[in-house]
Amino acid sequence: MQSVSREAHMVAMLAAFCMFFSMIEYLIPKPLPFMRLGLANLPILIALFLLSDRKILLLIFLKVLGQGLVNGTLFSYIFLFSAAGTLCSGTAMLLIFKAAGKRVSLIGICLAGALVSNMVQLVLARFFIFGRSAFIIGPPFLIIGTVSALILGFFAERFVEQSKWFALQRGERNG
Amino acid sequence: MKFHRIIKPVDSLIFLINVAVILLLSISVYGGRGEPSNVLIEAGGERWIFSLDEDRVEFIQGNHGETVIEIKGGKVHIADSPCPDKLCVQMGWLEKPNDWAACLPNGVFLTIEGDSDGEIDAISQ
Repeated sequence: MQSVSREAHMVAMLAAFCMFFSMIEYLIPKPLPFMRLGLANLPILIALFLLSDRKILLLIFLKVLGQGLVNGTLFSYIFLFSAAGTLCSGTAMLLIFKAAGKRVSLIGICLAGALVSNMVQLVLARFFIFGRSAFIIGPPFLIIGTVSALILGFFAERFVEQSKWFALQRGERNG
Repeated sequence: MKFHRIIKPVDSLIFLINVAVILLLSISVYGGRGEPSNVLIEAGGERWIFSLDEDRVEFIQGNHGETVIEIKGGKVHIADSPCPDKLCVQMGWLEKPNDWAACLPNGVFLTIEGDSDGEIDAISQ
């Protein structure tokens, strides 16, 4: 019972961090509206080590909602894009983390998440809005996504290695 | 802070997949647009199709007079048209499928046909 409530607290806190990072991301000027750095994925990367699968999915769902609220896109068609992108990339990150275990670091997880999210959004853009011309921005879109995912993944990996707070949380979960 | 210690085998694999996807998408979007084949001209409910490979000059009768369309070296442009602003002439040379130009006052429309869609569709499925 104690561990369940601890985990629920952790979900709430990481979801709040997702909203916080969405807001930071929203403040950073971007040349195109749908270019993302993916800062809000940082709590999800950390959650991979701290939460059960079901709670991670719950966190992903909360992140989608929080991001929609912060960006003001919750009731617009753009929300469909970010929701589909996050749900697919979150699931992909979770699956790769489970399947590869110690053979993968957060850099790889983050790269995979960015690729899945961006491809899903490109395919949606192709079918619902821009038609075939959507793919013309594909390569630069994916390159920027790859670079920012590398940086973010590296940062997350360092955080997981060095954070005393993280070590404490992880220790309490396992022990 | 050593990279070779942090980066794991699956990381490299995922990175390579990333690069491969970007390369494939780049080739299909920017490179493999298919050979431009024909020039389609429409005016006054009539349609003409000319090959891009054969240099020629066509005079198309429109609402106000003849629009001059020149095909040269695999490209096509409107060389002259009896319209006041000559926007159609300024649209310049067309060379890729789905490029288009039009002289609205004279009612002449010009585009390049081509099957550029196949490869991009294959990626998206």
